Amino acid sequence: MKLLEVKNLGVEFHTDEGIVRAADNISFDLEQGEVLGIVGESGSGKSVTCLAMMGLLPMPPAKITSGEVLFNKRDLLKLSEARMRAIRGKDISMIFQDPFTSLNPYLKISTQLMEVLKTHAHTMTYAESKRRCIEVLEQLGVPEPEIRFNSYPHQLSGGLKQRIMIAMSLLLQPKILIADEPTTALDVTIQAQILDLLKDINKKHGTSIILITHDLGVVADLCHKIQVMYGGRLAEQGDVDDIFYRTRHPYTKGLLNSIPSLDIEPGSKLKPIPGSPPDLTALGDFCAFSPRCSKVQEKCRTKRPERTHETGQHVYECFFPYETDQLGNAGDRRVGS
Amino acid sequence: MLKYILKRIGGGVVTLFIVITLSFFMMRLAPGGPFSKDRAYPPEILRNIEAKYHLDKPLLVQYGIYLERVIFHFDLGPSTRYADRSVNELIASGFEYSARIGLGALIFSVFVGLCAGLIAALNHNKFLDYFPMSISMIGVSMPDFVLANILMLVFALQLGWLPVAGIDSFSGYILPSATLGLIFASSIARLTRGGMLEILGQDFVRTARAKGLSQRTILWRHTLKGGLVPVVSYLGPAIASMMTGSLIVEKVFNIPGLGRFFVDSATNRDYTLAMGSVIVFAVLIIALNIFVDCVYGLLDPRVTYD
Ligand SMILES: Nc1ncnc2c1ncn2[C@@H]1O[C@H](COP(=O)(O)OP(=O)(O)OP(=O)(O)O)[C@@H](O)[C@H]1O
Ligand SMILES: [Mg+2]
Repeated sequence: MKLLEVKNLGVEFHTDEGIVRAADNISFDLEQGEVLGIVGESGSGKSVTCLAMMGLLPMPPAKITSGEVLFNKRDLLKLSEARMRAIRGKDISMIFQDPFTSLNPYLKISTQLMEVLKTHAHTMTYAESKRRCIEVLEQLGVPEPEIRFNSYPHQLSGGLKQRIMIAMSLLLQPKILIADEPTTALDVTIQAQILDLLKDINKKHGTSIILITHDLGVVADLCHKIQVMYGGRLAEQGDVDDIFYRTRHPYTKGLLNSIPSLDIEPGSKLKPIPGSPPDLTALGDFCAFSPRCSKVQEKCRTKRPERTHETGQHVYECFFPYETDQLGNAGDRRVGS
Repeated sequence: MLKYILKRIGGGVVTLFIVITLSFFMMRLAPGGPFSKDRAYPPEILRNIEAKYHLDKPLLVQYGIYLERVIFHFDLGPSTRYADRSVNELIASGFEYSARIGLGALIFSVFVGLCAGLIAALNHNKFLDYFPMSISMIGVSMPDFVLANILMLVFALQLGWLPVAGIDSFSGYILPSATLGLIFASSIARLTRGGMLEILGQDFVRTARAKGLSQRTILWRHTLKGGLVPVVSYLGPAIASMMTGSLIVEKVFNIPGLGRFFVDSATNRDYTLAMGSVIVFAVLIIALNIFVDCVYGLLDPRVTYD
């Protein structure tokens, strides 16, 4: 059974510069134990999509214009704030990009951890709650958890802070963990540790994870399926093999070509996608990627591509997708470069 | 922490010394003296009087005498204007009233200012934001004598709830405290709103919401401390000026407070009283600033004292 089903989610921001369509007709679902990667350039609407699901967007300026988010057969978008609060941090929890600013500098780690249990698990005693916090910190590889528990955030390193954030989100064993670029602000070695940690959590507890990232390279290893977003719209969606070996959308292909990797031939260059991200206030009835697309034709500039469903879960929005045989020997994602 | 406070007190003493020295000499540089104005004394009487106040000695010697008296006897000297009364006495008598009114104003301004600022911040860009902020804009820009007279007209003369002037009873303190308090409340409201809006926009507030905390918990536990930092730094000097009295408020409500000494002593060239007022004000400011810096540490754990 599907744990989470997002259908035709639309979010707008009403700003002085105009209406920003930050999420336009976004649909995806998540099974129990599945890891979904959401990939796309900065400003493509990844965070907005997840914040909208959690009811965490500032409204105004944000406005949810369409769609539903089904969780346990309930539409989260229609729940009262009080009901939604009961779900946040308990059934669905979220960790953010920047552990340096996401923890409250004025409060001890202990306060920030314990308040989750106090809010959602009323029956737990103080001692039980504390034991649970220390236990989770230990599981997440926080050295000397008792000491960290009594520290303030500024006394910890970035990697430790992110571990604390993750601990905070796992205290009540949520069904879904949304991780919004959890490693962007961290050193490369720490990044790998945090990603391993997420993988572990998924394996051990069967927690479903939505992992937001800029980086397709990161998701390949961790995710079961991937959603590529461009300009607030869905570009392509499918399982890892669909995205990596049966790529359809030119934007996905562009992203794949810009991943550095070890098996790249010496001397060959990475190919960044030319051009810059779109202005979301100026998107109309045409393909958002058309100004930067190498396969662009007249039709792309005058009409918005429909959603094409292929075998399985593979979905894309493009008039002139890559054919499998065009990719050459499947498996080498650098063909064409 | 103790070491820090001691260090700050040491610094404060140095500052105070500089303030005393500068004001002492600057006042003497200004033309005129305490006995040169209204009445022309016969020369021998003038000499006698000047001798009594050591005004006939060289300036440096006077300075030495003054310092010695202040430092070793906490004696601010005799007033040159109010014969037979010491500056200590005068200041003590005025401070009694000014401090009571100041305390009332402090409680009033903090309560009203915090409430208005919090309500405005929590209703950002809505009516409940615009309304208190417009009022506070009026409060900031309205001269205190206008405000004092309006309050007196409405609550004392029209409604008759409170005495017009004088401080024979508790109710006499209400209008002067409210006048002084409202002026400071306006600034406190604006600072509270600004501080809270800044904190409410921080990432960690989003984290708190993502944890499912209630709006009330987020407000009290997560945002209040940080949001009040600007108010706390404003309160240091503000308390000092509330406690030392306002000339206008004292004039309008006819209160024998400190405020008038500040102004009168300068125009009368009452050297000792003016110096005494300066010292009292400086000590208050220095002490309150040290206090405020200690409060920062209680609010923000990232502040270290070394
Ligand atoms: N509070 C807001 N007010 C106005 N516009 C906003 C707001 N938050 C987001 N947006 C707009 O929504 C669009 C999508 O933003 P979003 O944060 O979802 O991007 P993202 O894909 O998460 O990018 P990043 O990788 O940089 O985090 C952006 O163009 C942004 O300008
Ligand atoms: Mg984002």
